[in-house]
Amino acid sequence: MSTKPRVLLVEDEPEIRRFVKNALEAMHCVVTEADSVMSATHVLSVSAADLMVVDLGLPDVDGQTLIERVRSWSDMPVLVLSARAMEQDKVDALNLGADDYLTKPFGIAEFKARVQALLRRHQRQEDLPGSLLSFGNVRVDFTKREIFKDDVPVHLTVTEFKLLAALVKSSGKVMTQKTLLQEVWGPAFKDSSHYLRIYISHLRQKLEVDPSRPKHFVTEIGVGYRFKA
Amino acid sequence: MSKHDSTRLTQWHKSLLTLMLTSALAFLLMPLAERWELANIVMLFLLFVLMVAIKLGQVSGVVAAICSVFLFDFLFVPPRFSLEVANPEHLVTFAVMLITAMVSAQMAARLKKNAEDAQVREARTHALYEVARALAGTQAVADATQITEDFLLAQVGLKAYVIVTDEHVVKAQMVGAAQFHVETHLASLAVSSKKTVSSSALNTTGWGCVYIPLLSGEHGYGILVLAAHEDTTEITAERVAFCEAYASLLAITLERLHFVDVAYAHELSVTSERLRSSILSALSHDLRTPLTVLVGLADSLATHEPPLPAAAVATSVTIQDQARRLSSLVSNLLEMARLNAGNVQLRLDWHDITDVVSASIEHLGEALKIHPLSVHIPADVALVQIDATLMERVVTNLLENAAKYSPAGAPIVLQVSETQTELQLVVRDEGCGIDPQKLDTIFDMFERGTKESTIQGFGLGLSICQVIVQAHGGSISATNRLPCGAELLVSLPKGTPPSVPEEFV
Repeated sequence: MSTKPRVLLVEDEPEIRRFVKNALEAMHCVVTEADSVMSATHVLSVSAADLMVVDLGLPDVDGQTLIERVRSWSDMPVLVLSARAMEQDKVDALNLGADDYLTKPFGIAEFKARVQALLRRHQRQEDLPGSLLSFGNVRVDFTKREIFKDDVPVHLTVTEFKLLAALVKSSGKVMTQKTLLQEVWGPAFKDSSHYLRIYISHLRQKLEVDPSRPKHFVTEIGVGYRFKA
Repeated sequence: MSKHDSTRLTQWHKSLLTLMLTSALAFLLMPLAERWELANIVMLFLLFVLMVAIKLGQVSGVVAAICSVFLFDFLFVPPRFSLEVANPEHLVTFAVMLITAMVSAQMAARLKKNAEDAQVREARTHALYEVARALAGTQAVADATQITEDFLLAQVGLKAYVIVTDEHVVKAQMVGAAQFHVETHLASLAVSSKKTVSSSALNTTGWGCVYIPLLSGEHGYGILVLAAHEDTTEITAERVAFCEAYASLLAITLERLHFVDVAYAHELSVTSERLRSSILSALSHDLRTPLTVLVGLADSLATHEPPLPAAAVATSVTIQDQARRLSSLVSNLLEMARLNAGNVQLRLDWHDITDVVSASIEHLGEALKIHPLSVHIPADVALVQIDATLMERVVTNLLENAAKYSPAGAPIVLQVSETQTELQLVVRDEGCGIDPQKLDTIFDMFERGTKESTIQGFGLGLSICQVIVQAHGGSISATNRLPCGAELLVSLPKGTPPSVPEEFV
């Protein structure tokens, strides 16, 4: 992307806003700040953004509401900052359309990595998605449905392949278990989390070097899974 | 006794009155004896008997009937003024007269009694209705018992006492004081049999002799005990039946009051739970915000462009480390506060323990880097029903402890194995082990396994683990290893995970 990415930062604590803004500017982003859902809505109505960073505990309306509102007209990536101990808030935000989350306190490096992944992913989506993918010692050809681990062909069942495709499609992004279940098994299975556990375990057994310490099919506890290339 | 006597005396009076009235009628009719047909005179006698029966009751009716036949024979039937009967046909007249008189007397009397009974019933129904209204307005059990005592004394002249029971147990939880002795054995019998128990042996003042269980549906709420009052020695079946009818009203009232209590307690617990949870989340927010600022600002110093002098970078890294440590401490404290609040709310779901373990390792990140960690989990490990977020804290705390209490470079082993009924997770380290005297208390709050050392900590980690594991119906134990190190074992019940159909293509 030739132009600088525009980021909307919605956070009510000025000190947190300050260092997050610094970090974003160090990544050559143009940052607009907002301290409430109302001012964020106002900013978005006058100028578009390429990424939104939202704190969930905002003073006026819940951050979730903002995400839901934004999702009704835009697919810009949304990164959630959550100071809350309850997992459910994060899961709700992700199910409403947020792309990733960070739990406070977080380091600058961690934050930058997430932002970069989201911007890159968004940009890549605008290009055509590649049909070839390699991660670790695994190569996948999605058009031919062929998978090699250390150049040895690996057989995946239909569902395993569907799950792999769903995870890879949102590479780097957290996928809630509800989203994955709906995407791979269909809406009737959105509460059948045991299906997901079993099939993630199959993928790990077949594709990870050490299935008990997965590097690519990463658990986001209480939330879902994330694929890391 | 006096009341009983008075009714008998009235009966005597009535019979005497009847006798006199019959004689008066006979004398009044005497002038007609020669002029009227005997049959018409019989009719007048019958009419008279009917009226007597209606007004004075059955006994007087019978007296009137017999008396009438006698006087009719003596005064009207030829030969007159003698009991002899000239015409045997008149014997039939006497018989018919007697039977008709007696039957009609009986019927009239029964009719009268029915009317009287209906009046009494109507009055009692009305009273029951009134008392039901009064009971519907009560707010406390004490009010209901007071109403009961007053009402039964007024209506049936019995002393009443209400025992409120709790879950089928007759407790000494009595409201007010009884004015008579209560036989707790009979009260228990009434509760367990769900039937009225009465004892005629106790039918003297001063002892409760009828015990009516207060049932609403299948649930018992208490016992209504009745005792004779000074004026009422007799506890008739009819009175008991009335009291039983009242008892069902009282039972409904007690049930209502019981559910008012339940609803109130529930509301209270919901409110206090909400309050606690909002305090905790406000606290969590207020504690974490400055920590986030600290970590973030220190981190931005460390990554500052152009780079700061090495000493300044080292300082900012230390600030960041300490802030993170403080943050994890705050998390543990808040977690403990939440768990200690009593009702640990588990969000149970079927999980692969591999997810929990790998998330914990990811979570600890740098802290584990200085120890070679080997993880052994069976490839086909069964799913377990757990709250993954809480269980992740357990594994994180165990690994963190293992890392904290063993020297850099000492290996840590995490092993998951299965028995028929349990999933076992073991964390072994080669550190300094646990003070043998503290093996029993290590899971208590603010208790640490080693003597005061330079290693930072609060002694919260393992007690959090224990609360969480126990909430899952599992157990946690610690042992020392030879030659050195500690072993912590978590056992979780396995349950039957839902099946997932196998796929072949």
